[in-house]
This record gives sequence, C-alpha cells and structure tokens, in this order.
Amino acid sequence: MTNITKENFDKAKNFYNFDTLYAPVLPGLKATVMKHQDAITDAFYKELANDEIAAKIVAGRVDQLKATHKVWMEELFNGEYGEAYFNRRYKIGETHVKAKIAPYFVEVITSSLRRSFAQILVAEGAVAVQAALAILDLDAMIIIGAYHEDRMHRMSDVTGMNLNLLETLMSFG
Amino acid sequence: MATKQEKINAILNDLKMATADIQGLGVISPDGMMIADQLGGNQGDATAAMGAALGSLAKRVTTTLKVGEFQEVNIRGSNAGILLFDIEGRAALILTVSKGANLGLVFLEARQAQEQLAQTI
Repeated sequence: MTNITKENFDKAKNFYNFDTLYAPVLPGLKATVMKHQDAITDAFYKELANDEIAAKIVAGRVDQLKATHKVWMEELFNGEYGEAYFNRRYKIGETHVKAKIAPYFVEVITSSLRRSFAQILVAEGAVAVQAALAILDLDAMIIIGAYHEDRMHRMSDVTGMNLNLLETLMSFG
Repeated sequence: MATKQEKINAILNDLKMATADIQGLGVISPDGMMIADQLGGNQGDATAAMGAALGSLAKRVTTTLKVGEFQEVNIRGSNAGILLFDIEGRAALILTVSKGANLGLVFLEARQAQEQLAQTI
C-alpha cells in the first residue's frame, strides 16, 4: 500500500468535516440500520446472483459472505473512523482485488446500498441520511483506492518504472 | 575538494566539449529527477522523466528477453537523436545528438563519461 489512498481518505474526511458533522451521528443509526440488515444483504446478494460473473465469484460461499457483509455493515456505525478503520477497510479492498472482482461491482453495490440507507433513514432526518451516505462514500473510496494502487503496482512491475516515476510521467498528461 | 555535484558537472562539461554533435546532456535519477544537466531551454523536467521511463522500460525489456544487463539505448528521430546510458541502475546519462552525428565518436566519449559517472555517483 502506498499513502495515496490514506491521504485521500484523510483529505475527504476533512473536506466534508466528517469527524465533526457525521462521525458522532453514525452510532445512533446503527440499531435502525441493523434492523434491516438481513433484508439489505439478501437484496444485495440477489442482485449479484443476477449477474453471471458475480454469481460465479460468490458461488458456494454466499452464507459466509453474508456474515462478512453483516460485520462490515456494523462497523460502518461503530463511531471510530481513524487509522484502524482505514486499515480494515483497505484490507477489504485488497481482498476484492485478489478475488478479481471488477471495481464496477463495488460501484453498483455501493449505489444500491446508498439507496437502501436513504430509504431506511429518511424518517431520522437529513443529517442521518447524509452521515450514512458519507461513510459509504468513504468506504467506496478506500476500496476503489486499493484497485487503483494495485493497477499502479502492476504497471510498475510491467514497465520497470517505479511509482514515483509513474506519477511524474502522468503529471505531464 | 570538489563536491559530488561539481564532479558530475565537470564530467558533463568535458563530454559536451568533446564533440559539437552533442546538443544537450544530463544525468537523471530512476525517479525521473534531473541530477545535473546542460540541456538549455525548459525541457529539463520532461527530459528527466522521459529518460528515466526509457531506461526503466529498456531494463525491463532486456531482463524479460534475457539479453543481459541493460547498457544503452539509441533512438533516431527525423531531426535529432537521443542516447541513454545506464549508470549501474542508480542513474542514467542522457544525450541529444544532432542529425547525422558522428556516433562512433559520441559513443566513445559517452561511454567514457558513463564509467566516470559510475565512479562518482
């Protein structure tokens, strides 16, 4: 892992004042969201099953993945979003990369979760919805960051160019 | 006692003076940073980055195709040429040479500078 994704995570949190505005709100939403967790997760895997490629990736381990998904969702609302949180989420990204899950799936599933969270939390008010969407966006940023870094490392391996040089070259674009 | 930078500059000066066919030259790091140059104009950053890219790729190609250690690259453009010499993987010497340059002399002088730079850097 380089520092790029971590730097972006910290910058994004600062940009929308996450730690002050939204982090304190999230633990209070946990019970409401987790009441719907089974339904959300089932819908999530139903959508995946409709896709030929995704269905092959999850085949034979849906129950195990659903349990992992539950833990992931609980952690969204734990109220701690520092270094340890980032590292756990980055590892999830690396797992997606290793499993060769196309980043497209991360994006469409995040979109699906955004809609589910908004629907569940709309009665709790605008800040509740904003907080839930903010942490989902941060998580997606970390996972997509892991894909980006993997591509940069592979590009470095293939070309022999170190990461600093690749960044310098791209700055000429 | 001369600093390392002064020693590198002196080697580049001598090389530049050796033949009028050498238009510009520089020593670049594997990160694409310019260590020292006599290029003129404002092409230093691009030259350093492109030169380092060329060297990295050339090293990758020589390794993959098992042709031994990467030593040098010779590119001929329609208006001028570019030569790149590896300095033990720690840096590279890049030269731009005029069209129709006496490459025999240029290579002779550049390889001598390559050895001197390897001892200095």
